[in-house]
Amino acid sequence: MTAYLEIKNLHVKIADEDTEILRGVDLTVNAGEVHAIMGPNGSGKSTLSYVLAGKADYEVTEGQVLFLGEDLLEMAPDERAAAGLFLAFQYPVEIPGVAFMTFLKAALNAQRKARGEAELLTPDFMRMVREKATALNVTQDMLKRPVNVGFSGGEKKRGEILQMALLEPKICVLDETDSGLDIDALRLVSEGVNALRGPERAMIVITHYQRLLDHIVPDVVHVMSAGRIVKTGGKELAHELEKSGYAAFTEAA
Amino acid sequence: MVGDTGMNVEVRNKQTAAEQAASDQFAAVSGSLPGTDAVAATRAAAIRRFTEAGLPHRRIEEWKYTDLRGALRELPAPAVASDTPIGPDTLGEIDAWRIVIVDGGEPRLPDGLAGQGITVERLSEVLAAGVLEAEWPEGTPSAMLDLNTAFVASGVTLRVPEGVHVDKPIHIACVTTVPDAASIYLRNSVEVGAGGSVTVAETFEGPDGIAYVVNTATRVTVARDAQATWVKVQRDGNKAVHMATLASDVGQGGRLTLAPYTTGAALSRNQFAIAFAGEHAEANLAGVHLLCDRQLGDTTLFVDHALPHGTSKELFKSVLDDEARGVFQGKIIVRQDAQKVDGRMMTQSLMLSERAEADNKPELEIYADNVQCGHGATSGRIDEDLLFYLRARGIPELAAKALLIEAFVGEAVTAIGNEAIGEALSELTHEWVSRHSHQEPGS
Amino acid sequence: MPAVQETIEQVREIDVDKYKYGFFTDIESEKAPKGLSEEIVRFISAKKGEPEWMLEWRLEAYRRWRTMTEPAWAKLEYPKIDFEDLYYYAAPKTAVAPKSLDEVDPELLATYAKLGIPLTEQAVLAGVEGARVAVDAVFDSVSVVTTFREELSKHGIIFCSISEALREHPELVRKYLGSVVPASDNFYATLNSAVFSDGSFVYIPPGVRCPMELSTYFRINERDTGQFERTLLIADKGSYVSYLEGCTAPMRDENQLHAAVVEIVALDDAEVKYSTVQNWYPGNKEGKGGIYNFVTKRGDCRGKNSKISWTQVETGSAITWKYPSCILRGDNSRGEFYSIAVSNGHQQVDSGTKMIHLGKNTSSRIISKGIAAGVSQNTYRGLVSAHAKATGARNFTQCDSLLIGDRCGAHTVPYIEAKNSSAQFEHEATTSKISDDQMFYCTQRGLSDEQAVALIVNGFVREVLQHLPMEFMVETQKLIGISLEGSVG
Repeated sequence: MTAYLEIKNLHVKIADEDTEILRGVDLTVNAGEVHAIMGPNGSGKSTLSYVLAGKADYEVTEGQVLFLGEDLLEMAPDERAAAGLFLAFQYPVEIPGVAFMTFLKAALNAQRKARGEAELLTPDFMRMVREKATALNVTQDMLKRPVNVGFSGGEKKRGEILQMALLEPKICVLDETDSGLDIDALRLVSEGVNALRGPERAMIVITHYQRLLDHIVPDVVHVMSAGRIVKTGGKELAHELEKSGYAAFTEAA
Repeated sequence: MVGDTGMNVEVRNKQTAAEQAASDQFAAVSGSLPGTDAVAATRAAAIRRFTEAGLPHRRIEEWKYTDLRGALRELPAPAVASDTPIGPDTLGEIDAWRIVIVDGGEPRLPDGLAGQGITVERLSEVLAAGVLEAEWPEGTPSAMLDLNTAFVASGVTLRVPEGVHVDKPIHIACVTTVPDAASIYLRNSVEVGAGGSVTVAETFEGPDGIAYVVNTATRVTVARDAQATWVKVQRDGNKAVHMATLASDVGQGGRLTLAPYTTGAALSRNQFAIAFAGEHAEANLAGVHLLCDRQLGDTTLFVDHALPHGTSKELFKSVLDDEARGVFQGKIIVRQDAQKVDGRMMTQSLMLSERAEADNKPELEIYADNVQCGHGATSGRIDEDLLFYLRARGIPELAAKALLIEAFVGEAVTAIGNEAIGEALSELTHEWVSRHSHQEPGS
Repeated sequence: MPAVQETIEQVREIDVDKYKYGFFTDIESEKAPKGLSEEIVRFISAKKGEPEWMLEWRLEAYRRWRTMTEPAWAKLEYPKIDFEDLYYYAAPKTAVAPKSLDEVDPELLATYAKLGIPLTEQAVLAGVEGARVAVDAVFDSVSVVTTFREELSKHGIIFCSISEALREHPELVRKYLGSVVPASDNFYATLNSAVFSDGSFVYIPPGVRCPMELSTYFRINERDTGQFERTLLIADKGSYVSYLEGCTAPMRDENQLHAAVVEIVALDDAEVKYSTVQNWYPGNKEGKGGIYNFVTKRGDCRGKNSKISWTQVETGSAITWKYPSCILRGDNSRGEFYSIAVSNGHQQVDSGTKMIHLGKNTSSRIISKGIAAGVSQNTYRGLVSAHAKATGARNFTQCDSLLIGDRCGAHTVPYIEAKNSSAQFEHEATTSKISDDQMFYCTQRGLSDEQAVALIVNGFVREVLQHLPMEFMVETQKLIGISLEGSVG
């Protein structure tokens, strides 16, 4: 069976600069799996998530990424999204004047159209949003407000998970979804994520701390340091890291 | 502007008395002005341009708020240079290398400035070497500059060599003592070599009650990674007309701060231009108008971003009392190649009297897309809430007003970034405010 | 919400010919010979059966115009207009005073149907739920038909062509015409005063709240034709009216001139909302053709507590020169200006407003959103002034510009003149491009670059869109999408 995501010897630098940030990343994620990537600041975790989603500021100098067997790096960001790749941003961007609801509908129908599916009619769409929003404690008021404008940290992250729930991607990349959340918000967001786990979906959870992984329990844990994955293990690896810190692994790199 | 007033309508009025006087005076004195034949030719060309264009009037967009043709009824003859050994009142207390120019005469230079490695030349020496610049960058050319080119005979040229940091400010004190109406033409300039730094304070002062005209032109050149601060304090007499043209350019990584502080003259115009000659350069303007009676003060700035990664910040504060009029026009242009420019302009007017007038025209002309530019303008009287807060804390009304006005002006003075000069200007502000914080009718 | 979706689709669907209003209607028309002279002015006046005083008024304007030169202060560049090479009068031949819709040329009705105008009352009733719109349609130089007249007249509202108003209500026209924009006002307004052929006239009697939106659609059809319509709107004491204006023109290789004048008078406690969606033909990709739009629009808040609100969406024309203004004469009067100006291709826009505070405690608000793409130039030019007696005047101005691509220009030229200390003015302006982060966020969610731009731009202009009547909002969002087509990538 084809892997959902196959990253082979990926080297990445910031466009127009010489510093290499990813220095040979190898990672395979299969259907149904949840992978956690942990690592110290500056190890390249967020860069990996941006490169997967197709942000323009990076340049891939070597390596390959296959998404469901297709060359991901050849695809435009919106094509990747329509193919089922979703990035939950660490810092969701504000878009003044565009109501969250409008944005959700535009995104969902753009993806459906790109996949040759019929667009959702407004009443069906509204019903769907309302259901999923209630589960994530996203209020009607939030849906009417412009995308992320004036949202609290928790609201922004819940908004990201709501989008994930609506868009039903194949693979979800969660970039530091726990940052800026208090314990209650963390639980709520984690429940939202867990509800989306399933045999047809894979996830890459990027985090600095182990605490998120108490809520979203991973199948595989990777430690990233200086642009490489330096250790891979089971969920117990996260606890080990929490005790010993990253230092030991950083040295190994 | 729009519709009913119609701008730029071609009106060729016949010559005014002042325009006629300029030609006549030039014919009378041109033979005795300093400089080589080349300089004489430059002067003759300048007076021809002046005669053709005439004095600027309000139908010329840049002079919309200052009708010089209407206001300058007479152009007095050039002053007779004075040798009176007099010192300046303005900024006289600060520790500085002091150059004094009285009535447009030969500059008196301080001892020891050469020890700093700085070259100082008198304009007469520069003219004798055949140099008189007449072509100035965009944003500066005007009839006033042409007049200056035609008549100027005095001023200093300073050169700060590479890597030299001048230890204290250089103060160019321009003092007017003329007993009767006269025109004073000055031209000062500073060039700062790569990595060098200097602060220059140019001050103007003169007697009240005499309709003299000061016409000054200034060049500031900041080389790569160099820094220059040019403070201009204008405290000319209450009947004087003061016209200043300043052109500056900033090299790569260089930093320039221009600080015009205006309280004097019946009519004044600062026409400043900043051009960027290198990337990653920074230019700041920190300006003040403190005007009263029927004074008109006009500061017009042109910032030209032609190269990427430039930063410009302008903060302009006007305090207007009686029937004074404060004009600030500031134009930031960002040309097509000047990506990643950060340009910010703020102009604020505080009106102390019912009959004061504040005219602001901040302008953006943007041709590059990857920029962050903005401007703001506010005008109004003292914030009643702030005033109430201070009074509720026991500060009497007049003192509270003075405090708020000084704080308002203080923001611009602080932005100059020189402590000694900042203190001296704060003191000037304090004196001015003490004379002008009064009970407003009906408040 | 659906509107945004429609915008997006519109952008996607529009491919080769993006100006969908660019058809030409083949109707026989009657034209005066090219060029301008006293004879032409007399001809126009005679054609309309005008009273003697009106002819004199026109002739005086004409003589005045002959002494004037075109203004050059706007940031616009275009070849000199040959005013002798234009037709100053063109009318559909069948258009002589139609008594009812049945008498109107079916070709014309078909044209308006293509424009999506609910011209017939039935269409209006069938098409728009709840909101009904009374329409005056001006085709080239002549007002063709005005709908809903009977129902409006029950309220005492006069809504007709200005030619008809000159015949039926000369005293009203004479009293107000030129009282806001004098015949000598400026080059284009003076030209208009001499040759205007038609336009709309509205009078709302005291205390009447107009029960429906009033609307005028302008269309230039004929070749080499100048269109000079004149609109006069009077809101008597305590009345209210909302007025919409839409404009289109066929695609032509040559430039066509449009020099309209709109005058609004608001008496005590009256309120006027005037909305414009201007979509004249902007010229082709190479900048050939397109309308030269030189328009003088001014409202006079003549009475106390009166209010005039201008909302404009400018997406069309090769050249736009217009500054809808408010003279805030009455105490406590209020002026508003909400503007969206989109320029793409070779379009040039120099537009803004004037808020002239004369009365006590007058207030004004300006929200301007400019979007420049292609190689267009987009200038906001606005005056806010408070005169010495305008104590307590207030203004707030927010002026934002968005640049799409690095070959266009966005410029902001405010004139802020406070002549008394109690006037409180606040002005803010920003210029930036659509942030890369916003674009990436949208594309990560599956939107194409073009869809993302349309969405972000519609968000950028939202604050202004909200001031448009509902039925215009949808149309406008589509228009903005269409106008920006091809601006990215």
